[in-house]
Amino acid sequence: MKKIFMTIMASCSILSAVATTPQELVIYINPGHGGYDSDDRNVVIDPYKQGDPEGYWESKSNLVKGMHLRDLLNERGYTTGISRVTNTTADDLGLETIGGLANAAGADIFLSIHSNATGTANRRNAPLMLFRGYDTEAVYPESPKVATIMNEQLLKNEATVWTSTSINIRGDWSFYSWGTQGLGVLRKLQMTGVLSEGSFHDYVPEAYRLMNSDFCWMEAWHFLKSYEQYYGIESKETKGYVAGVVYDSRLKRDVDYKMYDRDEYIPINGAKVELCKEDGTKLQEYVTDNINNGFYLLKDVEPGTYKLKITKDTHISAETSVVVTANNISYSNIALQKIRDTAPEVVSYTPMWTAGEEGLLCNTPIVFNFNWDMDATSTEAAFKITPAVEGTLTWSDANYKMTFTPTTPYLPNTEYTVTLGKSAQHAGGMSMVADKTFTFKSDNRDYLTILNYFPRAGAEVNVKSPVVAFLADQYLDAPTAYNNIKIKDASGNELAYSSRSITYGKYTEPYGWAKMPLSKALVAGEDYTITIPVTVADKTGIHVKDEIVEHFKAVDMSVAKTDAVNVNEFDDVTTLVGNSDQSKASTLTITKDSSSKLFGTACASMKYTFTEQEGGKIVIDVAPTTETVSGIDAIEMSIFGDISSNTMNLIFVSDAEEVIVPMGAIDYLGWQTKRVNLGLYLKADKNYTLKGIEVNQDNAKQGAAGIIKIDNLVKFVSQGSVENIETSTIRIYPNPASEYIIVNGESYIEGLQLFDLNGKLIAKQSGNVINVSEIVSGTYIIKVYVSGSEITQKVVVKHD
Amino acid sequence: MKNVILSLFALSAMYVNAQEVTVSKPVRLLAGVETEAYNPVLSADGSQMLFTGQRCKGLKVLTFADGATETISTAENAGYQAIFSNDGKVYFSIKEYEGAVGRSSLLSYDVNTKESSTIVEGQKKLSAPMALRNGVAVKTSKGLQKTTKDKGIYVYTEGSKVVVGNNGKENEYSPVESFAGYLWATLSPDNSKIAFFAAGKGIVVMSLDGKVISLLGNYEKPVWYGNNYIVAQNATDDGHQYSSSQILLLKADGSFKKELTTPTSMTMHPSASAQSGKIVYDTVDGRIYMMEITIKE
Repeated sequence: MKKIFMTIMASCSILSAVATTPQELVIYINPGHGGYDSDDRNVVIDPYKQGDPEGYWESKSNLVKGMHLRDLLNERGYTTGISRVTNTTADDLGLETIGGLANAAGADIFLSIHSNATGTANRRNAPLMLFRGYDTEAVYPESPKVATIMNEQLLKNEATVWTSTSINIRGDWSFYSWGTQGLGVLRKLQMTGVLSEGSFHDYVPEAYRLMNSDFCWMEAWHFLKSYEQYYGIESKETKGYVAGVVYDSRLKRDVDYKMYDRDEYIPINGAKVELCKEDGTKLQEYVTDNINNGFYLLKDVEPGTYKLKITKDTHISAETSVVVTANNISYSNIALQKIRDTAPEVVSYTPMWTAGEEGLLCNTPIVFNFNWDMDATSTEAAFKITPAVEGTLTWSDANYKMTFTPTTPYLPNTEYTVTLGKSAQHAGGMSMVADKTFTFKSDNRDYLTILNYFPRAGAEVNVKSPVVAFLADQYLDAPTAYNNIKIKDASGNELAYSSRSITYGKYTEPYGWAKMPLSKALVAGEDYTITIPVTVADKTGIHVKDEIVEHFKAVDMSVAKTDAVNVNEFDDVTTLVGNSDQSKASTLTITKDSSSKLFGTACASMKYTFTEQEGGKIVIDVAPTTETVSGIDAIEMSIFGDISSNTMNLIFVSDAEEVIVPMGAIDYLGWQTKRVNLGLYLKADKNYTLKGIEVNQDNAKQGAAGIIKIDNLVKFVSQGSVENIETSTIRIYPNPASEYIIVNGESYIEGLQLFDLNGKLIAKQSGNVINVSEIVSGTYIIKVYVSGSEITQKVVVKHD
Repeated sequence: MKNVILSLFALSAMYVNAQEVTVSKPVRLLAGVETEAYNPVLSADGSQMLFTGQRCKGLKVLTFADGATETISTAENAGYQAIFSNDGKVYFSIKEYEGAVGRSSLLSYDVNTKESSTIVEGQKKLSAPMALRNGVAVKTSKGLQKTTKDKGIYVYTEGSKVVVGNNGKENEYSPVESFAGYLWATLSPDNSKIAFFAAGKGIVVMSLDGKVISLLGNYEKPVWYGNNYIVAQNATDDGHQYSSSQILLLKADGSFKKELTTPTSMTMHPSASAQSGKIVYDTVDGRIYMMEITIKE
């Protein structure tokens, strides 16, 4: 090979020395995920609700770790690149982009920071480091070395509870065991790279810890130590650190999530940890946060022996000794004993009601809050309500709170007397000084009012993508709907919902609703049963009065009708234009929807909102088509209802004659084929063209906004489609497929296998996509390997 | 060297959309020849195509006229950022590791004489090669290096800057905010416009003096198709794996967009030659396809 050295170039020699100073190194940091959106990971931890950006999101802790790591490295002279410094969807960069940026930065090591989840009901907590390649043959040979060092470093964290302390580094091709697709973010790298799953965020005690920035800082610091160790860089840190958690010595967390070891005990919020010299002089302090982790960290401590003083007004103070060494974190986890030295008393209770006030909800729980953790047996025995009401007594807040929940509503407009006798004792055995008695009155609303539901008795439901809907007059406690409303087939088998696709109303909406897509298609011609039990309730717990059990039938509405003629396929939405006759409509957006269409390439989606609660109207002009109808025809139109109870009309025109043909109320959800005999409206000897579509607002609460979709208006013909498959854990699409079948889910999709209906393996592929472009059209079985389990579904390959 | 039977001219399925862009049915290239092939790069006249293997290992060239393939390099990363330059040569970089430190080199390959040369060696940082009239330029950690005295226009990105070199002078532009940085800067064939990707913003088209002409959307890997159109990829992922990926045709002024492949086609890494009407791209599992398009303005 001939070498060219152009005279106009600056001379450049080949550098072969291994870089050993921070100034020579470029570290690229990718805080994984981002944006609090669908490809982020949200763990619901009290007090945060699902989707609350203030709660736990993997993107957030990844970012905090990444920012700390960047700062630690920059302070020491490293050059760093980082793929994001904020947490928005826009800066959640594509996999190709992240790799490209790291390459362009000339990075020596790439680190993608993540935390892990089991994807199953199991819970554990241990680091996992992944690199590109096989376990024994990395694409970049240094990656396993770096991964091993990082894994060792992270395991030094004693403020967490590890369920395994084994080194767990894996090549992504081996880990997912299906070939060489591997992790997308490592795919384009041109350097040593590691994806760190630092701990398990679905282990809830760890999620609480990951909410603490200083806890995340420790992980970043351990990454820093990893770089120093790998490159043989001598640390210049002359000081050390002290870290640990403060927790109750006796009281266990009153929760239903999995905990191990020390994590079973209540972490103490607001505990003060003071670092003192041996003579008692305070040097610094840390107050544990209020996010249920009890974590503390004392930074920049000169090497030596110190006293740690831990105080909290509810607990007996403790003192311990700690030895600090330079460039090291010393751990001290401390259990505090609760103070119990006075008689128990009711410090607060609900409901608090005064004679003359309005009555309370008929399901109002009775809650006692105590100054001590109570003895359950003596306290329950001391409880009495008159008139007697059936109910249950439960304990929470580590036995500081006792709740009576009526199992049947209180009698309307009735005054009740509640007494807690003085025989109630706290955990230390002392009794109350006096009885506690109060009264309250119930109101007159004892049950939930149902606005609508679907499917209703006798309904025909499209077999594909069936969705169950429930609407009530109040904001719903959505889980009581999607956990309790059941759909069963004729054999009594319960059909599952696609839990990821369940939606429900917001508190600000004037009514309550829940929409629950079933995870599988129905079987055409089969009968089904919907059961709405009395446990379906609003957010106040007021529930349905009587159970509803009704029957409906599945119909394949995409089956072509051979003797029909297309009048308008609504594939081209540019032929639909909202006109100026709209009344009380604040917005109308018409879009092409190719995902939920019933026929052809697309359906038309009309998203509208009305400014008032009744009397609104939207009118859409339709460009004329060549096909006309007359009074001897029947028409069928596919209308995707939004259960708004608004009504739809078609406007036909012939010369100067304009005729409105009602298509009925949109009081259902999903596709329905609406059939109308035009002889009722049109003249038999004239040809009419579809001129417009109008939607009139009903005065129902749910009619103020919605999305109605329309597909083929036919005299007779249509064509079929099959919808994507969604289960509670994965989505398989498109179906039918002609190029690739793609599978996505919460967890990494390890591999796919495609079998014919005789069980013969047709194709196999690692990762989440499988190429079907050269597989003959037909029905196949796809087997999805995810999180150590297999999911099997039927899919269709169809080539034009 | 292997012969490839291409059905390039058996384009039976043609379709035309309302914007008068005619797109041929994609034809798979290298079927039965390469198990997996990635990162196709077309020559300006569309007569040849570079491609690489899994993880960008190796670099080969396919000549469409006879369907022959020829190995240029078997080195790691040789296919990551290869180009055809205007001097008839192929330029590509390789990266070699010595222990913990990787160093990149720029090499050239003359397709006619089969001669390889090392242009720049042992660079910690090496930009994508930039084609000049009689050679190539590349930005290294030591600055810009060129194989020619040509003072023509070149462009590269550095952090959140687009650097435009013209007549021996470089100007830097940061026309849109992007914390993470810019990538994939590319000059239009007539040297009048620049397209690049700004992380978090998407594809930006700007004039040579840094004025934004259009923001085309959050797509990646822009390449020019003539002077008025750009071909790009539109990929989504779940943070670990791709969820969809398709190839788009975008008018550089932002007035027109057409999906050349479907989102579920998992197609990516486009390269285009308006001179020949060809667009090539790969798929996530290593298949290369070619389509031919015509645009009626």
